[in-house]
Amino acid sequence: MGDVYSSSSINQSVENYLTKFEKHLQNPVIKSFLDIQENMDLLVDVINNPTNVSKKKLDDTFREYYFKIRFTNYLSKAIYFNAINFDKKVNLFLDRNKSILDSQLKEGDNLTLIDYLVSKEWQEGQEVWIDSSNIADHLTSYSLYKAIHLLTENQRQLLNLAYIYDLNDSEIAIYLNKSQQAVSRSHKKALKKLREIIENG
Amino acid sequence: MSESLYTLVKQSKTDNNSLEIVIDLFSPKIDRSLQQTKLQYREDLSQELKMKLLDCIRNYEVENTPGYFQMLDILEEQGIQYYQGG
Repeated sequence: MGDVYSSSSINQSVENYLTKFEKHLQNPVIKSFLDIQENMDLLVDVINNPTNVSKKKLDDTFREYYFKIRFTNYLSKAIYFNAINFDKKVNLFLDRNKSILDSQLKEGDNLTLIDYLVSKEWQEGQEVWIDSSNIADHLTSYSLYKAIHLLTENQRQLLNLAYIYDLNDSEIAIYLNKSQQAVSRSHKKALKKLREIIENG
Repeated sequence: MSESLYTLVKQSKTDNNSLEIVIDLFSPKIDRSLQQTKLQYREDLSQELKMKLLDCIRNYEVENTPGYFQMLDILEEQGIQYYQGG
C-alpha cells in the first residue's frame, strides 16, 4: 500500500516538474538531452531525491553533453571560416603577384604587367638614385611636386621619414618625440590632403 | 575512443597527446573543407587549419559551459527578456 502511494506521488512530482518547466523543456538542447533515457532517469532521481550528489550528477552529465554540441559547433565554424579566409588570402596574393607577364591586369584595360615592369623614364646616363633627404626631390610627378609644397613643414618632415627613410609610424613617433597616434593621424591627414590637391587639379 | 571530448579538451591545455586526439577527431571536417581550394594549396590549408584549431582548443573555456541548472537559469532570464521585449 505504502509502495503504491509513494510511486504515484513520485510520478506526480515529476509531472509537476515537467509542467512547471514546460517552456524550457522545448529548448532543443534540453529536449534532446532528456530524450536519452539515462539522462531522464537522472532528472527523475533529482526530483525525487534532491541531494547534492544527484544534482551534481545531472549537472555534470548535462555539462558534458552540452559541451560536446557547443564545442563541435564552434570548431566546425572555425574550420569553415578559416578555410574561406585562407582562400581569400591566396587569391589576393595571386592577384598581386601575377605569374603571367602579358595577361590583362584589369578587365577592359590594355595594360599588362610587363608594361609596368619596363621603365620608360630611365635613360642612359640619367642619375638613378637621387641622394636627398627632401621628399620633393624624389618626385617625378609635377602635380605631386606642387602639392607637397602646400603641406606644412611638419607634414613634409613626416613624409620624408616615412618614405625616404622607410620608418613606420611608431618609429617616427619616437624620433619626433610624439605619440604614435598623433603621428598616424597627421600622416593620414597629409596623404589625404595630397590626394585632394591632386584630384582637384 | 575511451575518453569523452569534454575530458580530452580539458586535458589539452596541458597534455599534447589529448590535443592531438581532438585535432584528429576533427580531421574529416578539415579534409572536407580542403576540397574548396586548389590542389597545390591543400597541404598549406590543412596545416593552417590545424594551427587555428590548436589555438581554439587551447583557449576554449571549458568551465564556461553551463550545467543543467545554470542552463535553466539562462533560459529563464532569456524568457523574461523576451516577454518584456514582446
